Amino acid sequence: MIENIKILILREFLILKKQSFSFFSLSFILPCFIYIFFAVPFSKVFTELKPIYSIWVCSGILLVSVLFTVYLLNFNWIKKIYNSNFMNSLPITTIEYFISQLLFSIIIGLFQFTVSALVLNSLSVGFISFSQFLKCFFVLLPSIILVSNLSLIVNSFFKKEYIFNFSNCLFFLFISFSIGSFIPINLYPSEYINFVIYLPISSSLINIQNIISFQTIFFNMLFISIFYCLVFCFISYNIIDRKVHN
Amino acid sequence: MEASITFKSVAKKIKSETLLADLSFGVEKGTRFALVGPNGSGKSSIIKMISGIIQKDKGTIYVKGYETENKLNKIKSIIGYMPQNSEFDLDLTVYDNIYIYARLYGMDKNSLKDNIEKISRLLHFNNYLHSYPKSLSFGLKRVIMFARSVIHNPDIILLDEPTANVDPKFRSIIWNYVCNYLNKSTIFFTTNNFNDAQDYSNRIAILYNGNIKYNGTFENLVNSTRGLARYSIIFKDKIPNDFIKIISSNPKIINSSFSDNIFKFYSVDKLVCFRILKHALNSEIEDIDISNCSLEDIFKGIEIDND
Repeated sequence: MIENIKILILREFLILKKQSFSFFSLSFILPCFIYIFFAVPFSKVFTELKPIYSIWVCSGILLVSVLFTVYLLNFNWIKKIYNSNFMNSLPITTIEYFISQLLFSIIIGLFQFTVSALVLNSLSVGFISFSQFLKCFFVLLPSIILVSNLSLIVNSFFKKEYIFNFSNCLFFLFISFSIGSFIPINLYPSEYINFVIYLPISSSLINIQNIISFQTIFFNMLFISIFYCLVFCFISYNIIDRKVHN
Repeated sequence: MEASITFKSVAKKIKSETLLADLSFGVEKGTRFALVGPNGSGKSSIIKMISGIIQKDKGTIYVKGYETENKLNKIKSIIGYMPQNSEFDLDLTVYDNIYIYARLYGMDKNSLKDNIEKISRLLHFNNYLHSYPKSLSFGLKRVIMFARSVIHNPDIILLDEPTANVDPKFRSIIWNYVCNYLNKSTIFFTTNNFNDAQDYSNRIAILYNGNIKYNGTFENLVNSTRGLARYSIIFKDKIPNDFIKIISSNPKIINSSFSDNIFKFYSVDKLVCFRILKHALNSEIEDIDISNCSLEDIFKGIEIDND
């Protein structure tokens, strides 16, 4: 089982190798662009924040860049099973497919998280220490797994390419502007805040913001994220299983 | 003889239409089994059911003694499957495409490099190992897909129309390898090419209307036709109307066809041919041709019987 998972992950990385230049470039450009086009202008607007906006917004940039990358890279994955009789003839179990994809997402997430943290550290000097880095990644982990599954679920329902592109845009807008990544959540209507803080991704964001501003982690929110993450894992596992066993 | 594949009363519906009904047959270990049949008759579905890609609706399938219902992963590990369509990871090189899948079949990574180089030499694609599949010709892609399905020396090899639309060069490369290097494996292939089935299999089954109509060696199939032969008479000019009237009333003529100056028919009785020839000699004839029955002829016979 472990051997098959290792080989499936290797396969994903060999596929990624062909686009390695564009992948590395985009991994670097994405946090830079978000910083330049969102953080810099907004820093002139939100001047009252503590810590200062350019530090506060780093949590949003980390979250958006990591989750958007994971979402994009997972999008094509289910198609590889759906469209391939050959893949389905291989002695691979559903759990092996599933775990390999989750691990691949986590590795990609960690890579993007590291690149984004390095970029942001050089732009806003020393916003994050190594222990904060580890804590942030830990609280982000359920969201990475959730987004990886969400990508798989969306792709298994919609086959057209324009819907794929449309859903990418919607996802980017959602994680950027609906959960307080770049605009402080207390500026939204209170009814909306009560709803959105219990969304799994926003609870990860709130915890990252807390870690960066040296506050304590909300473990209840972390558990909510883990709960949602498990629900999404269950759904996508069943989608894969249905496909593998036709 | 030990059975490699056994179908017992298997049925399969696709979109509420019966594709296979009460299908039962067996494939002995070590045979090269050809399954021929018209397009849409269910040949590919049979291969997909054996390899666990699709599920049967009724019946039982055993592969090397394991039932597909509960030992699917075990079965998948002892088969090699070549799909009908090109299925590659387009972002992987030819080498990586073979390497990854051979590893998933449990091959040792240390010996794999040598094995890939060896099979690529034998199948004449060693110069393309580091190319991407997109840049390769159709025939070469089929050869590489074939290599990918046999690299792990599986007990049972399932080839879904392996040489369909492949040029003669690559066709002979594939069949040479099958005949010379895969003697210990059971090979189950589907084809629409009757010559391939006739020349490279030692057992043939004809699938028609959801069931097996014939199953046996080609010699037995020919014998079962009781001497069916194909006759052609080529007239110098247009076929005379009198001649057409006479032969139209002969019940022993099977599947006759007229085209301008050529008259073709099948018959199991040689005397019929001589009688027809006698009538034909009333006009000037250019040539006659008598051929033994081929698999295609038998297949046409089945279609006629059912029509």
